[in-house]
Amino acid sequence: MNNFDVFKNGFLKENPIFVQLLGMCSALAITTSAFNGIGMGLAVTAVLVGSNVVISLLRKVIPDEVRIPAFIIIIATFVTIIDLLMHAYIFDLYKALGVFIPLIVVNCLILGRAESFASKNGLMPSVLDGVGMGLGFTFAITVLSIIRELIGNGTIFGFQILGEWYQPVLIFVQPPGAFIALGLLIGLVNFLTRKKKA
Amino acid sequence: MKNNNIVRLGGILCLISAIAAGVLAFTNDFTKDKIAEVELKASLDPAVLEMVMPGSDTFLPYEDTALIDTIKAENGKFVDLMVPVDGSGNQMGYAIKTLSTVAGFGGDIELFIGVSPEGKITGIAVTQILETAGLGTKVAEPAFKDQFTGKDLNAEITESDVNMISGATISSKSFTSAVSNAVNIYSQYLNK
Amino acid sequence: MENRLIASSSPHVRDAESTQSLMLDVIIALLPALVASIFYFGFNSMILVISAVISAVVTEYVCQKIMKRPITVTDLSAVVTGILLAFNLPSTAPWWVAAIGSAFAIAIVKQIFGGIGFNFMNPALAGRAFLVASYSPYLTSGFIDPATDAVASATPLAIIKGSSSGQLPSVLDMLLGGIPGVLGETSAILIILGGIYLIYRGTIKWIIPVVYIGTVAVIALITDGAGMVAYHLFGGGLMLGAFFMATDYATSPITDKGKVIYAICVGVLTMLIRKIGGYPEGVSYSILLMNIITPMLNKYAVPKVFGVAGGAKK
Repeated sequence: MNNFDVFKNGFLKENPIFVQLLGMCSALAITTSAFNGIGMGLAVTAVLVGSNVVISLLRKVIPDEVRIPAFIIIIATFVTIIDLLMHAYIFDLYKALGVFIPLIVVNCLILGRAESFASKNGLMPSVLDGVGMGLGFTFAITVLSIIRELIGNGTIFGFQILGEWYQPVLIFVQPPGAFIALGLLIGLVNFLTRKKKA
Repeated sequence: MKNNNIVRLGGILCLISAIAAGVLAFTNDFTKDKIAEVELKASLDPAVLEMVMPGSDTFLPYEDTALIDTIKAENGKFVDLMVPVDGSGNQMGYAIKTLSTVAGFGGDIELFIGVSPEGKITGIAVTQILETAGLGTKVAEPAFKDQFTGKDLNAEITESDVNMISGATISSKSFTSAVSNAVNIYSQYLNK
Repeated sequence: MENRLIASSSPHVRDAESTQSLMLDVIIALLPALVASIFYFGFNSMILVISAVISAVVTEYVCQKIMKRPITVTDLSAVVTGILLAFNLPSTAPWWVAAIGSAFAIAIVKQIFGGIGFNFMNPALAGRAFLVASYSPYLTSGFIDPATDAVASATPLAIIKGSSSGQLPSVLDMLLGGIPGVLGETSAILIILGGIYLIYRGTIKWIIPVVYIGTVAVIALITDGAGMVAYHLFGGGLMLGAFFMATDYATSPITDKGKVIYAICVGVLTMLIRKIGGYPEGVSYSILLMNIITPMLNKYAVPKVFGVAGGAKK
C-alpha cells in the first residue's frame, strides 16, 4: 500500500463515519449546523494527526502493557491543546461546540487509529492516515450537518437558503433527527458503493 | 524481575505524563492572556451592552470585590456583577450575570441582566446557551426575553409571569430560573 | 382470520387480496368517527384526512417504484395510515402538516424497513411523534371547542393535568364527541363502535383493547378516584389508540400471553405519562415504546408447540 492509498483508504474506502461508524457521539451531537460540523471535523483531524505522529514516533518506546494509558495521555494532551487554542483564537466555534471539544478524548476514532495504525506504522504513513481519516470524518459530518441544518433550519452556514415560505422540520436539528439523517445517509452510501462493485 | 518490570512501566508512563504536563503548561501560559482578553471582549461586546442597558457607554467592574466574593460563595450560579455607566460616567444601576438554577436542555443558560436604579429589568442578553438550535434558542429572541423587560426585581418572577415557548418549555423554564436567581441576588445583596 | 397476516415466522406470505379486505374493514370502522369529526370541527377535518391519505398513497407508490418493489398501494394499508395520522391532528392544522407527516410515516417508518409487515413501529403514530417534534405549535394547540366553535387550547386531559385552565366537559359530551381534541379524540362512542365492528369481523382481537383500557381504568380509579375514571377513558386518544393503533399487526405481539403483557405495559405507561410525565396525553408515546419492545415479547412469550413430547421445551 503506497502512501496515497493510505490517504484514500481513510477518506473513502474506510470512511470513519460511513463505513467504520466510529466517532458517532460527536457526529450525532454537534451536527446541528454546518459551521459546527466542519469545525468539529477539523478539530478532530488536528488531534488525530498530532496523536498519530507522536504515537508513531514513540511506538518502539511505549511498552505493550501500558500502551492504552499512554495513548490516552497523548490524545488528551492534544485535545487540551486544541481546546485552549480554540478558546483563544476561534471563540465563537469554541462556544458552539462546548463540552464536545474535551470529549474528543474519548472519540473512539482517535484511539482506534492509534491502536490499529499509528502504533504499527512509520511516521509518514501515520501522518497520511491521520489526515485521510480526519478529512474523511470532517467530510462526512459536514455533509450530515449541512443536511440537518438545511432541513431543520432552512439555512446552510447560517445563510438563508430556503425562503420565508419554508417551515423548518425542527426534528432534524434535534437528537432524533441526527439518527434519522445519519441512517439515511449511510444507507445511501451503501447503496452507491454496492452498485459500483456490481 | 516482575517488580522491576512494574517500575519500568510506571517510569515510562510517568515520563510521558511529565512531558504532557510540560507541553500543557506551556500552551496554557501561551494562551492564558489571549483567553482572558477574548472572554472580556465577549462580555463587553457593545451590542450586548446596549441590549442589557440601553444608552450605556461601557460597563465597569463592581468596586466592592469583597461583596462579589461573598455572593459567589453563597450563590453558586452567580457569575459576575458590573456597573453600567453612561457617556459622562454616571452610574446607571447594575448588570448581573448569572447562570440558570434549573438546567436547560443543554446545561445552564447564562444571562446578563441589566437592572435600573429602581430595580427594574432594563434588558437581558443571553451570553451562553447550548439549547437546541432553532427551538430552545428561541428564548434568546426578543419575542421571549423581552417579556421580562420592565419587570420589578423587588418581587418574585416566576414562570407564570411570562408565556413559555411551546415546544421549548424546558429552555423557557431554565431561562426564567436565571432571571429569578437575579431577583434573589438583587434583593439579598444589592437592594438593602 | 387475523392469523393470515400475523404469520409467526418469515417468510411472510402476503396476499394483497386479504390485506385489502382487512384494511377495508378498518376504513369502514373509522368512517363514523370521521363523519363526526367533520360534523364537530368543520370542513378542514376532511381536507386533513384527504391530504394525509393522498400523501400516504403517493409516497408508498413512489418508494416502491424507487426500490423496485411490487406496487401494493391497492392493499389500502397506506390509506389507513393516512386516515389514522389525520385523526391525530387538531382540526386547525394546515393541510401540508398532514401531508408531511404521512410521507414520513410511509417512507421512513414503513418502506425503508421493508414495507407492510416490517415496520418496527406504528407508522401513523411515528408520523405523529415526528410532527410533534417538528411542528409542535400545530399539533399541541388550536383545538376547536365544538360547543362554542372557538379555538380552545385546553383538552379535557390538559385540564386534568393542570397545565391549562378551563371547565371539564360532561361525561356525555365526551362520549358523543362535543369536546376539544384531535380529530379522532372526540367521539369516544363512535370509535368504540368501530372497534366493536372490527372485533366482530375478526379483524382485531379483543385482548389488547380490553386489557389496555382496563389497565388505564384501574390505575385512574386508584390515583384519581371513581369520578375521574370516565375522563381518563374518554377524554383523550385512549379509545382510538386502544382499538386502532395498539392492535397493529406488525407491531403487537403474536401470542395471547404476549398481547396481555403488552397491553398492561401500554396502559401503565399511558397513565405514568399522564400523571407524572410532561405531556397531558401519553397514548401515542406509550404505544410507540411498546412497539419497540414487541420483538422481545414475541421471543419470551413463545407459543406452545403442540404435538411435541414434553411441551414447548427446546
